[in-house]
Amino acid sequence: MEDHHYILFEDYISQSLGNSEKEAFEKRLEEDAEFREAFDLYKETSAFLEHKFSDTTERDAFKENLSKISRASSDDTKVPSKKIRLLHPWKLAVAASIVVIVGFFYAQWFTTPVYQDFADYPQISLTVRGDSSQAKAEAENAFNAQNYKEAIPLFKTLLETEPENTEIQLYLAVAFVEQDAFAEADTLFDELINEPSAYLNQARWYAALSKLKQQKLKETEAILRLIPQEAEEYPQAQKLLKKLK
Amino acid sequence: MSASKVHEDQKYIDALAQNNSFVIQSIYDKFAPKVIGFVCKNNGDSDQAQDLIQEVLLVIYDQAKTKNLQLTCPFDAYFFLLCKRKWLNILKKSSLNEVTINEEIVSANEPVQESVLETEHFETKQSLYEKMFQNLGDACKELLTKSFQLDSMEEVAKALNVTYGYARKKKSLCIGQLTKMIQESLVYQNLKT
Repeated sequence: MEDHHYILFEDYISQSLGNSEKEAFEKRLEEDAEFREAFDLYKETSAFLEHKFSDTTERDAFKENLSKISRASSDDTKVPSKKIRLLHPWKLAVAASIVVIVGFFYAQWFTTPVYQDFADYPQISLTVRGDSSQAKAEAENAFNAQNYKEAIPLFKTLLETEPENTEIQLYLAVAFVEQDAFAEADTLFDELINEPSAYLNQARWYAALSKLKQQKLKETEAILRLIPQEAEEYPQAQKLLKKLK
Repeated sequence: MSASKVHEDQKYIDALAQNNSFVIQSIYDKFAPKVIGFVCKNNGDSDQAQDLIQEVLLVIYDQAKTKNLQLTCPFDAYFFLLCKRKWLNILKKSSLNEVTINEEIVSANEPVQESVLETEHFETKQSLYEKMFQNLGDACKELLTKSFQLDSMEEVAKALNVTYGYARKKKSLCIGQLTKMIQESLVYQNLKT
């Protein structure tokens, strides 16, 4: 192929050819095997370069994720959790005492003993200074008063105006879990535990609790393993993992 | 690309392309133990098996991203055969005797064979392209890097302090040169036959 062929390839790909030129180009693709092969390779090479240079961040994230999961699963097959306990004894202690206190406090609200030990939902705050949304305040109050049945429709209304709000989605999912509406909860969690957001690891922890309440222990375990060591939820996740074994 | 029906296990491929941790975890849970077992039984240890698994998953990811990989067979068979052949090749390479392993591929059924070979071709091509790219002149390397990193050719022209028309023309000629080098290589000729 000559230089002008490559210029033509690029013009065709970037859709800078006029109608008649485009037709002539496509006709030649059909009729001239050598021309077609050269063009296919040109496209493939471009796709390779595109992937090499523009998708690097995405690809690095994938690689990192792989090695994280790989490490976790190989740790699993060797000596589990011992090393982990040594890493954050104080965090574990804090988590443990919170669990004890909260577990006692919430005891009357829950029936499943294991779930009850770990379900620890903080007081939420949706309203910010300068934002006097009545609807937000109502939803917040209902949730904080553990009035989940009432909170659900309130959260749903809020999501109508802000469908992408992951924080509200998360609280709605928790409220569903509390109401044993697991299908609805897990549908929400499915996305929350995979899409990057500020609530990613919190969502994973709550999603694991949802599976725990459903007695789906294998799934609980799988979700807990997604929580990375740097996350605030890591110590409690490890503690629960240990109990599940 | 094969015209055969896409297998339901395509979900694993799609999830890898989306970097879906939940599904990747389940791939490790379901399919890794068999690979680890195989490697450990064949002169390897579990760390080497983990590296192998990561390499194979990365190739599948790359293929899914650039070539829209369509799986026509069960993921289990496809993934295991890829790992197995790659491991046997590593063993052969370390004994300085690089031979492609063909015993296993003929015993696998046709859709599995097809998918595995397609992925292996993809990987060979990808490393060939990479090698050839490194063989380009510095000017082409820089221009292509910028062309695919920056959003528009106007920005590329500005960054390189050349005219827009020149940058555009140069981009196509550099890719052209790269394709020529690829076509001339022995690896490419072998892939075609």
